[in-house]
Amino acid sequence: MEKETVIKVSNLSKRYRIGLKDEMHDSLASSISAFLKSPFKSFKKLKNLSNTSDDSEDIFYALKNISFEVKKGEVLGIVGMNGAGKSTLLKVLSRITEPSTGEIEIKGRVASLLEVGTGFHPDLTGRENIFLNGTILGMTKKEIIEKMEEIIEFSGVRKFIDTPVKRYSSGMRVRLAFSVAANLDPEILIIDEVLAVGDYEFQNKCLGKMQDVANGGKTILFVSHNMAAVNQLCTRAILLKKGEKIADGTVAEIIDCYRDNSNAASNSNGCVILQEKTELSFQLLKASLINEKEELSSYFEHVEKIKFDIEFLISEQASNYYIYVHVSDSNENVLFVTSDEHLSADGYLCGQLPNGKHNYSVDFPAHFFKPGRYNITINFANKFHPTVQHNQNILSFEIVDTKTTRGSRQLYRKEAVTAPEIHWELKK
Amino acid sequence: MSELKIKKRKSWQLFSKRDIIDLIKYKDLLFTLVKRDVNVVYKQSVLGFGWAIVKPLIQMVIFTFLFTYIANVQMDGDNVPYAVFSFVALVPFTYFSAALTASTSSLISNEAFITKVYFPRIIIPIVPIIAKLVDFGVAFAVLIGMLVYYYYSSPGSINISYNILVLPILIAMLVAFSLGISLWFSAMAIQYRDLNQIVTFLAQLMMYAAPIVWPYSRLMSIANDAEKWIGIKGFANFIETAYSFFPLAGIIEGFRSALIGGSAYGEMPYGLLLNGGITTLFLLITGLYFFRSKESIFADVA
Repeated sequence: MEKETVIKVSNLSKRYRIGLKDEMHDSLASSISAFLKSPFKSFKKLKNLSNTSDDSEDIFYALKNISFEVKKGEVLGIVGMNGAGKSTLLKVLSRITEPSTGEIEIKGRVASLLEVGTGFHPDLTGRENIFLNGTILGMTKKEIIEKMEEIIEFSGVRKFIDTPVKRYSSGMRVRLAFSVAANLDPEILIIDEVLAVGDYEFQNKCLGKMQDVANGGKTILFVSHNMAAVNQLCTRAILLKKGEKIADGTVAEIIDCYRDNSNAASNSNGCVILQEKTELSFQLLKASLINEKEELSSYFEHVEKIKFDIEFLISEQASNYYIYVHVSDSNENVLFVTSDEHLSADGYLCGQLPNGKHNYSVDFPAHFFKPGRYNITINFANKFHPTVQHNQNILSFEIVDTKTTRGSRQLYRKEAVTAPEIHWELKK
Repeated sequence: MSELKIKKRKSWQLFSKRDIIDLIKYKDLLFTLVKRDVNVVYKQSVLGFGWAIVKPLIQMVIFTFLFTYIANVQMDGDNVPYAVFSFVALVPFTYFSAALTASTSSLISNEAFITKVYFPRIIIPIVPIIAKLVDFGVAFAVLIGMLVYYYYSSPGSINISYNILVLPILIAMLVAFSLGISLWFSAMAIQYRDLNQIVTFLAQLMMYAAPIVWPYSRLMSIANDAEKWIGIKGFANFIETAYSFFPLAGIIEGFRSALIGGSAYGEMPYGLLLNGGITTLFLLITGLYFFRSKESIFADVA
């Protein structure tokens, strides 16, 4: 049976006027005259803020001719890089701002969670803030009273519920806010980046709650950079780029597409090339990350093997040189350090190589990294000094997991730094 | 299941059926916000609601001292104490100025909501208009106490008449006038931030423009002097008519007539109230219209 369409977006555009560069003054006279004229100019400028009708050079399209439909019960992921227009789209959908052209038809009660904790007042107690936040999100007083227990229970801050919110930790605040929103009971839920906050356990609780909402036949629009969460939660996704919809399909397709796009856009592109310097006797030329399809990439699956290539130049032979690499996560925890010391008997293979370009190929194991972002640092060292040349965070890559069920089983815990495949066996 | 269409609103459309439904749906938000405003002001303050009394009271003492002992203002007949005369006017005016200043900056101070959640925006400037009524109520109670004291301590100074029945209408007009101006100013202030400074100044100006520290009867003699000085016949009448359209004039004189009475204030100034009412209605309707026309860009310019 064809499901009912609950959101229909047709030819939606949103224009903004962006500021033009201010003119510079090089003489006192011109700055004085500019100063005298400035009230008129500022007035015109401020007035123009609300005038986006004419097509001049300072018009910026945050959204351009977007059309899509969402069926009842779908969980739609909206992905895209920064500035793709995701948040603007959600703002228009949740009626915070008006579209410039085009229209949206929505059936059902909409609740939006654009940044949780909106409208929390620091001087009011948790309980008072539940009322405030709830009514802002469109609940009636009666509904809030009915749900109060549930909200307090879910937030886990019962002990402090009659304490002013300003004495809460930021985590507690977020939890309380999310609890209010999670218990809204709307037909359509719009969520933006809420998972960026709170500790791991609470994030999982939130994801679980959203899953419940989704399973309950509710429609969810979900914007996130967290591909793992998108993968876990969404049934379909769309990809935005510079205000335009460039892809619409299954989550796996879109995540692939997103990766390709961000690979193309990011300057690292899974590869970094350094300028050759004549004064150095020993230098790094190129570092690249290669996936199983033999392509350069900075996005990898958890189950994928990553090949890391280091190209370096020796222009003047020197003994006692070695290279070591370390990989650190986004919290600056070093996951491991690996080096070429085992390639020769004395541990200084580099020192014995002839002048010219050389390549090392380093294999990072599959089934090892948790989903997340990692940085690679390459160090050149000699016997006397551990960092002769230090190329910190020269390359970064991201791990996603769309292939296993580890994520949904909550096996990527925050406390665990890595997620290696460990051998298990059932003994006969 | 409710259906909703989101598109650019036509500028001539003041209120659609949808907006009315929304307003009703969000009425609890209005009350919660009012409660928040009232609570927050007095949380962590020693005097608490006392502040609502202290401010007009101190003003009254200062004015009584200034205008009776130093400037020696002529009072109209009777033996109405200057303290009563000025406090009766200060209570509604303090409400007006507090509501106006708070409401003007309300959209800016609630920017966080406006850019993050949808709700009928008009709630925001209405909240301080209602919240300040609490202060008004407290100050009004003090005023009543003061009137009772003078009623017994100096007989004849306070006269009770049926005019007191007009009081609810006066308060309604005061609220409507405050709301009318606030709708204009709050919608402008979010785009032109200078307005906050202007409003504080404007409230101060209005305090002297309204017959608060001086009796309304003095207006005519001032206007006559001005006519003589300028030399245009009928100028005084023009001034008087023009002034009657200033809603605070009618409201304040009305308060005096309702609460003080006697030979000077025995008559309710219906003429002033009618003209002031016209201005109020005009401001309210145009303000509503202006606010609605600006509403859609709030989230963009905030």
